[in-house]
Amino acid sequence: MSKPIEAVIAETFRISPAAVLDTLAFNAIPEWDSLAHMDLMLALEAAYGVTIDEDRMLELTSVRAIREFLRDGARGA
Amino acid sequence: MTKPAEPVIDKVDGRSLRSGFLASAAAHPQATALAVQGVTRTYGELETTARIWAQAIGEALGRRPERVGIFGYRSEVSYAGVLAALFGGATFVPLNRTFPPARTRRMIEAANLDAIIVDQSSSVQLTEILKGLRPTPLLLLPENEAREFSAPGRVVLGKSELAGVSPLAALPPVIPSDIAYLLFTSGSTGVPKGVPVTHGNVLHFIDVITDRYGITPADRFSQTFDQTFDLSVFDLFVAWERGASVYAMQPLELLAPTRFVTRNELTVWFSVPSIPALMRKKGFLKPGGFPSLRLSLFCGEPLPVASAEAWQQAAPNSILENLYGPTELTIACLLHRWDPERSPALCVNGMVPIGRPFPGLGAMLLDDDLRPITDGGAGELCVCGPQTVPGYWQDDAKTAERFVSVRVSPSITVRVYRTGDRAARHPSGDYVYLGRVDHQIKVLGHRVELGEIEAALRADAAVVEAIAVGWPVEEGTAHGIVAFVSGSGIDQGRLLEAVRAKLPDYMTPREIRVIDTMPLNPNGKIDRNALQQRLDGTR
Repeated sequence: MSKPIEAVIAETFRISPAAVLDTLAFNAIPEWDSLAHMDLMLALEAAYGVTIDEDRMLELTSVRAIREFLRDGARGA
Repeated sequence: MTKPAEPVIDKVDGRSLRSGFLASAAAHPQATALAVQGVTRTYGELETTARIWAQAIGEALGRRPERVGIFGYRSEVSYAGVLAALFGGATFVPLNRTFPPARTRRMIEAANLDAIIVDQSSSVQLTEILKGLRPTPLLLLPENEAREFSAPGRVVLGKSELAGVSPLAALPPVIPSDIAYLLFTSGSTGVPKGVPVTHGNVLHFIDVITDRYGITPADRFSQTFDQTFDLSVFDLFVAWERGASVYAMQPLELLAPTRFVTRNELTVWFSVPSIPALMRKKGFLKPGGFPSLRLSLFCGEPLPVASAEAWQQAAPNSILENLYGPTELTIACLLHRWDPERSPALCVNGMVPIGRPFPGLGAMLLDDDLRPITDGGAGELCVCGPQTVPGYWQDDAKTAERFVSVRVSPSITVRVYRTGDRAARHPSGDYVYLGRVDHQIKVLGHRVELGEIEAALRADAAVVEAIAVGWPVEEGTAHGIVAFVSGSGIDQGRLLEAVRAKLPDYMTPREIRVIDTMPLNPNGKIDRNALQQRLDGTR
């Protein structure tokens, strides 16, 4: 069974999983800057076996967007 | 003792950093000068805005401003603000909201600013930065209301105050020895060093570049660099000198730029090599992905051969050049044109050569005692000519250390800037970068060039970036090497074995750590100090 999204995000940014709310977004906290965003995309690819292209990476800028992408991506797979 | 009176200089306006923009605006007022987040501004609009701000600052101060801070981040205000400072006859001093507020405050104090132009996204830090700052510079906030920031003893001009101001008609004259911009670079001691660059310095750069690349009004430039990085001056003023347009990129777009480049049909790309390295890692650099580019330039850190090759395939219609230069030599001073046939043989440690000096500049290799190196060996790269800045801002001691006189013939002495970079000269005349003078470290008495270890690591196809540091350091000498690598599918054990086969024991890393991405400093270069600190933190 794959790791919860909150855990992957919290580990990447080194923040508390409790802080990973759906409304958390790119640039809202210092830990989620553009380089960390790249780290997060790599971490999501590794954790869930998805492929994130350039356009997708620009869309996945909130926890909600990531959650929806992974849910819909899994359904499509 | 009375201070000697400063001479009054009679100035007659001539060419300067602003004159190219003004000429382009006069010739093509309707042409696009700038695009920020989908909003475009014509030359005419940008000129009027900047003239209004320049007028407002001069009026409120009751005199011509000396230095104006630009506290904006990739916004219309941050670009128009630069023009407003220059139109007012002032030096512009870029500030950056991604820097710690305490650092910004130190820069404001050191630069002794008369005024600061602030965009909305930066204004949220303003109260903290101004705390304890005496005297407070005049504040110009074109996107805010003045009352949000008013305080006793503070002059604040906001949206409402600017509404009735007419554009500055007669621009105060500027001469080539005046300072166009003052930038702060990170000093090794942790105190930012100010580098004042004259109009004469930067005009030489602009003239070399516009001629070499034949820039025209049809060109569309990327704007990838933070404005606190001097390479941003290229993006703005090389474009504006010839009536071209500038497309400001936001941080995320930098990491995934294909759509941005394609949609805006950019013709000129200029960035740090970290961007193609990150794109390679993520598989974003696809052959033919950038058909609109005719010019691709990289500067700021060494350019790996693999990145040059991959970028050239992605931008098949583009010339690709590697530029080199510290802020003290005005943006860039050496360059090498990538040639898939000829260049690979010139590369050292898997890095593209930094090439030859710009026309009108001189480069030489000197040893520690400033004697020329003539045997083809490595030395400190030193550069002379019209792009050498006058010295460091209010630091005569540091200036005397880095800007030195070298006798090149019995009757001629030239003033050179010591770059602190180790280089060697290929018989073709191309210089190759070997590393920082201070990246040549001693490990248990052996002289070690960290760049050589990094090249050995990067030789593994899975490795994209590699940084070696001397660690642990005890009593000033390193006892071993630890390496950090990034890439995809790296096999640490195999990598260590491969490196061990190439390097002597004292150069072989005792540990190789795989990390997702390298920490970058505010200018987008790999931050070695941060890696060193990670090691220090684990002791």
